[in-house]
This record gives sequence, C-alpha cells and structure tokens, in this order.
Amino acid sequence: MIVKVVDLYFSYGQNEVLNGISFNMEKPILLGVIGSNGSGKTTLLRNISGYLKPNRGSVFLFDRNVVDIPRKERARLIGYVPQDIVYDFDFTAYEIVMMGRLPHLGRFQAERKIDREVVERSMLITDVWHLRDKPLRKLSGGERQRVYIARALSQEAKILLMDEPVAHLDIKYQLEILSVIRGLVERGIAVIIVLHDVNLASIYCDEIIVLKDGTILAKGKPEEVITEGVIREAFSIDVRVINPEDGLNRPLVIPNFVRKT
Amino acid sequence: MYRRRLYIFLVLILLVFMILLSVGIGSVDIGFKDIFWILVGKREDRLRDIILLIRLPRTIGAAICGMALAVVGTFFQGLLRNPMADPYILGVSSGSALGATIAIVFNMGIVFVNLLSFVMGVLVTFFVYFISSLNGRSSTYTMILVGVAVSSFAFSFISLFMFIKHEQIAQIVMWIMGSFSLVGWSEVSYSAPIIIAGSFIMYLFSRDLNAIITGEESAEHLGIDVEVVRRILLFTGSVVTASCVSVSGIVGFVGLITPHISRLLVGPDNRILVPFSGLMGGSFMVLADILSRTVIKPAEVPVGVITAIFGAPFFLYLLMRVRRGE
Repeated sequence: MIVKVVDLYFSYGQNEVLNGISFNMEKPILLGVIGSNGSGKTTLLRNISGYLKPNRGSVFLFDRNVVDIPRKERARLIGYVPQDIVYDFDFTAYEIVMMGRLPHLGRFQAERKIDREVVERSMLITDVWHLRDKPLRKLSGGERQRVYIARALSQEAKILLMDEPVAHLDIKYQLEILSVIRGLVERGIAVIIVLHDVNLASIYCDEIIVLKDGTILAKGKPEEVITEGVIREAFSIDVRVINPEDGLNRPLVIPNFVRKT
Repeated sequence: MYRRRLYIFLVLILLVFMILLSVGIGSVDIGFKDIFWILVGKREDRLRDIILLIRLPRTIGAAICGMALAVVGTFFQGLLRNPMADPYILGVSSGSALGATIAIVFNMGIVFVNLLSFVMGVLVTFFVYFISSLNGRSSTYTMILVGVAVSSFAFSFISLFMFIKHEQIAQIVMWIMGSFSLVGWSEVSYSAPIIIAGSFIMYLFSRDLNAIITGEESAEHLGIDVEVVRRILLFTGSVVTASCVSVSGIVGFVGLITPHISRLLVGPDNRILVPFSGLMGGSFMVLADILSRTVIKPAEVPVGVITAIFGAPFFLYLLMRVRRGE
C-alpha cells in the first residue's frame, strides 16, 4: 500500500477542515483531488505530507505512520510542489533543482557526482535542462513550474504531491505540465494532484476524489465520479455532463447555459 | 567553484589592505614596512605602542563588527525574506541602546555600558520572538512589525532619559551613533569569540537558508525543520549583533547594504555569499572607521555618520538599478 488515509480529521483552531477522510492508493497512479474552494484539498495534501499533524486519524506511507517518519527521511519519500511557488530571487534553475538533493546530503557534505547526475536526469525529464543557468525570475510560469517539479523529482521520492500545479498557466502550459506528470506516473511514481479544472482531471487522472466540506463526496474512475449529480453537489452549480465518443470515454462537464437572444 | 574561491580571495586581500591602512593612518602616519616589522615583533619603540595598544585593537574591533553585521544582515534578509531587513530589525539595537543609556545615566562605568547593552539587546529579541509566536507558528511578517513597535517603545524611553538628564546627552548620542574610539583589547577579547563562534554556527545553516528563501513550506518538504532553524539563526544572530553593538554602539547601513552589494557580485548562494559578505562588511567598516578619524582631523566623526553618508546614497543607487530591471 503506497498511501493509506484512515479517518482523518484536521482543524485550524476552531475551523474544522477535514472531517473523516479515508482512502487507499495501492498502485502508482495519477490521483486527482477536486472540490470547491475551502473543501480541504490543500489541507489534505499537507496532512499526507506530514507538514500538518492530524487531530484524529492517521496517514500511512508504505505502511508507516507519517508522523513517525523522521522529517529528512520523509523528504526522500514525498516530493511536494506547492501552490504558490516563490521566484523573487536570483537562484538559477540548476541551483533550485539541486536543493532537492538536501534530504540525501549531510550538513557538511558537498554535492556528489550522483547528485549532479540525478539533477540532470530530473531536469531532462521535465525538459528544463537547457534552462539550467537561467535565474528562475527570468523564466515563464510554465518553465518555473517544471523547474519545481524537477526539484521534487530530484528528491527521488516515490510519491509526489502537487497543489494546483497548472493553476496560473495558459492552456498550452497546462497540457504540457500534465503530460510531464503522466510520464512520471508511467515511470512508477505515485502522484496525488489537486486540480481546479474538472475536465483536465477527468482526462488525465486515473482516479478522482471529490471533496466537499472536508469529506469525500465521491471516489473512483473519472467515468464513475464525473456525473451531473456529483458535480452539482460538490460545486453547487448546474451543469451538463457530456461523453464524447472518441474511444477515450472520459466525461466532460459543460455549463448549463442558455443564451437569450 | 574556481570563480567563487577567487572572489573570496580578492575580498580577503581587500580586508588585509584596509587593516594595514587603518593601522598606518592617524596622528602619526606609519609606513607598511614599519608596520610589518612591528607586527612580527622586531621593533621596540613608541610606534609599537601606538600600533599594538591603540590602533590594532580598534581596527580589529571595527573589522569584526563589520563582519558580524554583514553576516547577520545576510541571514536576516534571507530568513525574513525582506530586502530591507538588517541585523537591527528585530529590535536588538533599541534594546542595546536602552541598556547603554541606563548604564550611562546612572554612571555605572564603561563595563556596565557594554554589559547592559548586550543583555538588553538579547532580551528584547527574545521578547519580540515570544510575542510574535504567541498564536502558533511565528510569521515573519508579525515579527518585523513587533520588532518595529518594540523598537519605538524602547527609543521613547531613551528620549525620556535624554530629556531628564541633559548633561549626558552628548555621551548617549555618541553611543547611539556608534564609534570605535573606545575599543581596546578588553572589548575585542570578549566580543570577538562570541562573534566568530556565532558567525560560524550561522554559516552551518547557509544551505538550509537557501532552501528557506524558496519558500518555507517547500523547505519543510525538503526535510528542513524551518521553525528550529529559524530559532537558532534568530537567537545566534541577535547574540552576535548585541555583542557588536555593545562594543561600538549602533552603526547603521553596514548590515543592510553589504549583503546587497555582495549578492550582486557573487549571487544568492549563501554558502559563498555569507563569507564574502562578512569579509566585505569588515573591509567597509574599517574604511568607515579610517574616514571617521581623518575627515575632520583631529576631531572624530561618529562612524555611524560615515556609514550612513556613504551607505544611504549607494543604497538608493542600488534600488534604482534594480527597479530598472537590472
């Protein structure tokens, strides 16, 4: 079992965000998490990564309780790409990705040959190797995002958590990044990804979790989960779900909008 | 790597040159050759006493304080992710100044001026950290604001003391503006070990600081205990700054602009930036001290005035250059 979440509760002070979440991830798949703002998506990721400690319930990574795994070892198991990436500094893309090797290095240890090899490989996978000497500031949004994904890769983690990695990007970069992520899943990395766009989630993810008010409203394959009923309840909107007959068989959500003429 | 070592080497030469210059310049000018023979102990005369008992401790004091302020400034700018941060931002200087003022007003003598300013500087930083972490994780934003508030509170008491004790205004002002004129071997002997040990401890965390600059949550996910690292760095940085201020008073701008200049020259990687910035700060402070005792010879200008006169315009220039997208 890669990830096992058991009856997870979490609150920020009085504000209860997660109210009893349970699910399993057995194989390395691309698992999407969707839901309205404030439904607990980011908080769920932060509990899985061990950044936040649950009030009740547990998260197990490879059958070990995440709170029992030392921080540095945890960073070798889990890579995290945060929602808002910072870039107002002069570090180059290469230097950023090399930071992903921190969990593998002692305090007094210089970077080894293996570290440079892993960094190069990670940057080649996300196609940013040619940008290695550029300061992050000078890169486009999509390139920055790919640099941060490469950093998470260079941690050599088995699990990647991504919090809306395509939120601020245009459609070209969104598809580009999601293809990169699909490629990682084919390489045997388990990815849990928070997505805003229900249709992208439907097209790219193997399975989807729909959150509402800190509980799981639905979980399963896209064609099981993306239904008019579920989407209406999760987002409080009126939509139609269509199923393009293209062999892919992934349901798409379109707004129920009638143009008055 | 080669270029980095070259940078360090060059700035090291600059510092040594500044120190020799500082030892040579004064009421009696002494040439490099004489300084050399005196330092290696091959000469016994009047010049020897001037150098070994007066100019050398003063110069070493300036070099070490400049180094400390630049190192702490580099760390605080990164840690608080604020380019305007300097070693005094969390209120160390106000605490130290209040401590020194109390010691001056109650005529406790120079030892207590040093001691009380050191203790108060550290206490005020603790207080700021404590207040800002009252509700859970301390945010850097809150810390800066609390630091500003506590600073003005402390300075209001200093103003009050100055108002009540007219006759000691000059002494208090001289202390607040900073000067190395009273620095002898005894001051150097207690502050240097604290500063050097503290700077070294901070340097050990320079790689962690690199990661923290790219975001605290990301750093946490790279296996760094951000809260612990921050506590260690803030505590050590405050102790280092307080021991500096207790020796020289509040010398501004060195801890603010040196990290910026250094960053422009060697880049953001703190493993190279921190030592470079430290050596640069030392050179800058020694130069400022030379100027402070030569521009209106034989009188002395407070060294803080010199660093501000040169530092502030340079800082503005830097700001403009960055704004234009340099």
